[in-house]
Amino acid sequence: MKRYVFKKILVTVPIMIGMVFITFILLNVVPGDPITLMMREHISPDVVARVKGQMHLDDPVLLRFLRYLGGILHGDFGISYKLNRPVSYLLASAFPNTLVLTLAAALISWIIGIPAGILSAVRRYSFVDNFFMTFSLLGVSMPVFWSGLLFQYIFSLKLGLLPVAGLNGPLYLIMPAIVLGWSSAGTIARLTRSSLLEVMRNDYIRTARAKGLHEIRVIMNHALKNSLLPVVTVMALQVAGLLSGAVITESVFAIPGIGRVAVNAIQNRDMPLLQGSVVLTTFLVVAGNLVADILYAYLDPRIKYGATEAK
Amino acid sequence: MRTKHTSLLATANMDEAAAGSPLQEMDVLEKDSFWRSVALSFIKNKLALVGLIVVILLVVLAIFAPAFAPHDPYKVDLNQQFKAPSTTYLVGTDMFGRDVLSRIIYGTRISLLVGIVPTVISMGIGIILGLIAGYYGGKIDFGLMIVSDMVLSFPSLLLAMVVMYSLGANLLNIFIALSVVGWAGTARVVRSQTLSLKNKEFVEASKAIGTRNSKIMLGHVFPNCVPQLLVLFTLNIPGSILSEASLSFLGIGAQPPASSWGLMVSNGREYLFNAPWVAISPGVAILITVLAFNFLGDGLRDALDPYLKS
Amino acid sequence: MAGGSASLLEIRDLRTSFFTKRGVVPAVDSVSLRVGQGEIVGLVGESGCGKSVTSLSVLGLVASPGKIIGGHILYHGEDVLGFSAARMRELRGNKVSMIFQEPMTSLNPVYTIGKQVTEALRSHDRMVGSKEARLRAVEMLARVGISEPESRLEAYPHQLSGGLRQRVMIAMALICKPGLLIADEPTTALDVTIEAQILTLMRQLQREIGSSIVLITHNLGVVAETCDRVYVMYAGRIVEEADVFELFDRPLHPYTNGLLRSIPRKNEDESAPRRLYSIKGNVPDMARLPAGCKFAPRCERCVEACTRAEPELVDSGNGHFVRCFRPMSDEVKR
Repeated sequence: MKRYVFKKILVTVPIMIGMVFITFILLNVVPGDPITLMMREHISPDVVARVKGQMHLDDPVLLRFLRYLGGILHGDFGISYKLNRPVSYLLASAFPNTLVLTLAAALISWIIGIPAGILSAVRRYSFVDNFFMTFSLLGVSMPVFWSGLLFQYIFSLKLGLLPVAGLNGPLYLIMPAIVLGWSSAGTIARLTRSSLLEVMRNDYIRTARAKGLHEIRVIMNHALKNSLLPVVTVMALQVAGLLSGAVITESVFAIPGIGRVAVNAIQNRDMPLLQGSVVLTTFLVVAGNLVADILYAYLDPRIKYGATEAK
Repeated sequence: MRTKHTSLLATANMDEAAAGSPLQEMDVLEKDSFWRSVALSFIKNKLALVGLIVVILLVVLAIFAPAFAPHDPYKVDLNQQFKAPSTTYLVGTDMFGRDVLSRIIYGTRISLLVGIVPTVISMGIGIILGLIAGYYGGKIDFGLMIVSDMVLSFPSLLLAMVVMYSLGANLLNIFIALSVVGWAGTARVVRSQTLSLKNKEFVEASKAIGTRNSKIMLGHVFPNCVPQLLVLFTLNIPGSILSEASLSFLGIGAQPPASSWGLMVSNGREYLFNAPWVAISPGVAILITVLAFNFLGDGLRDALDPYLKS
Repeated sequence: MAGGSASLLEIRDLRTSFFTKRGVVPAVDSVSLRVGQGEIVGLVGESGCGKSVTSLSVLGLVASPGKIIGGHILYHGEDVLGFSAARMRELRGNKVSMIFQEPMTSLNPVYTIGKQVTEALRSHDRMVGSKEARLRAVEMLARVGISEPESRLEAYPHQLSGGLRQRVMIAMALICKPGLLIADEPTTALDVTIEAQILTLMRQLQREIGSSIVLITHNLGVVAETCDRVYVMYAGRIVEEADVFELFDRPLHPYTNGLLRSIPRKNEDESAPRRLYSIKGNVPDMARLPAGCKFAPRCERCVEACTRAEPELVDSGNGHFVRCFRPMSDEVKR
């Protein structure tokens, strides 16, 4: 098991570097010399001069990339063009907000999604099943920005129950977390349901019943652990989807998180800031995938202990 | 993620102990009867039928938009600003006095195009790369898989945002961005199918009589992937639609005065309190479209399920 | 049927059908059988004849779309079909146990052997503490011939071979000392050598613990080795019932005769090479059974009368019953 974890971590590092590389290339090399782009945007000459100095644009791409990579490893993500402050500082103040939002949304999705999936599987084709599956389908089909606006309209503007936007306390988190968590909950509910249904068809479930176990025990002990294995993997992989959704949710609810920073950076042609936020986000995703792999290995004894045949 | 569905072809062999495929020998898969039985079980699924009908309606709306739209979607008339839904303006007007319904109808074109075209392109790329990776294996496979892993690890919206930043924000670039982002998933699926089929006898037989590799890949391996790819295709389209809508909403996608649904929602945002229909109704259009494709895709997957497993 | 109030298990006119989209499939059509104390009874037939469904019906484990639609299943004289869910649970694994064909998939991969075996014990006897349960599990594992039982408790199913897993299944099934063990093709998925070991083990345990066994199989060799009495099933019906020696000596039903003839045998006379015999035709489609005798389409001895009405089960003397209008007679067989 330790070997497995070690190997996984080892593989993650080059992937991470590769992803930073892709981001770097897309932002620095693809059409649009940054200077010319900036000049088109009528940015002041001081900024242009400053940036020119910073960027060493005459150096070969690889060198620039390595310089950037080296910087990251020291926590230096460059300086924001527009705001003229270290990107790392800007990200550090935005990161906790995104973290809180994403965690809240994730929690909601698990707390609602898994029981919904179980109930739907156990009471297949019943009203409960149809209700939860409709709920899930809606979650997966509604654009997050739209459901966000809808929630704002109903609960803030019309009913005045919740604050419209911003992040000045836990109350502000309720709507964004629900909006963001809904689609995730939908995915998890559907996956739990199908996973459980498939597990229930296995022979060892029949064995458990043949032993005289109560049906609840058969489901909760024997079936669930097996069916949750893929669900757990998805839960950790959802980090990517949640972070994508967070970008939009932060926009709609004016939450000062990384997503908002990234969107503003695009609108202001602030490349270092955009680059920094993307790198940070991908790091989170890769970390999430790693956790998913390790968690799965831990839960599945076939991987944990390896398949050794004993006669 | 499969919802189980009792197949029509469930065998008469009830012996629980016999572990076997659900297909009886007599139900051998000939191409015609295959698609016919798929169609039959698809039709039985009411939701899937609804999805299919709605999708067809949307396509018709998109193609014949000028015939269906009651007003000119681009006509500005400041006297008609923010009219509530009425008989003249079924969904009301927006901040420029334009008929929202007409704009939504024209927006169907954008959404469908943006849903289908990048999906076709990205799946095309994915299929080719997946076939090559799975078939040739070795370093090529390794390299391709590392790259696709990296692409897959990016939150898709962020990657699309980065590409849009580089290319500039307009509708055409969205096609490029979404195509670039989407190939990795398909590549993986095709690759794993190829890997499992590569060692089957009929491939070895083809090789033995000297068939060119490309012919084997296209003629033997690829057809076996078709059911799965069909499902993937139908289910990827709503993803593209949502991505474009999101990008346009954020201002990084289609630009005014295009009637992209996402853009319409974004523009209507500030008037949410007074004229909610401006922002809400395009969203309803998105929801309906996405739901329709999801129903269609789910239905296809359920109908193809027994064959997907084997 | 031979009288027997001493019967442990008596199945009377059991009917279990499957309600599928293709129609109603009568998997078990009026099956009656009896198992006495300490007997090993064989239930033989091809795949799909309904023998497994019969056994699953006893424990109420028939999965939808299957449903028991009639008959009686008497265990110690009580009709199991009227049992509440709670009484069924008390029956299963405790008084009547079952083991299945696929040891590879019949054990839960995410729990240890020890957990699964002790669970069988503790779910029926609340008074047993975890320590005692472990001890008894170890004892049972040893009894089924597993070496180093203490360390095996911590093992996971995937770490054991097929033969070992089947032994674990047997241990799990017998740990509560049931009166009846139903073994559904327990050795079909195993190597021939392992098969022999498992069968010997089952006979030995049966003697030690005194349980009766219903052994379901399609393999007549296994039957010959192990069983006291045999029932032959075809298309959901019992077509022959006899004491094992009687059956092999004097098979009366053409189907049984066919099965016996199909067993590959060394040809003593090398100048006259023999073809490998097999019963002509195919296993019937249970959704579309013919009227009259169900075996008629494949029977060499079929006559007009056979296609018009279905024969009853008739006593041929010696506890030997057959369902046939023209059973084999001494000159005709082989």
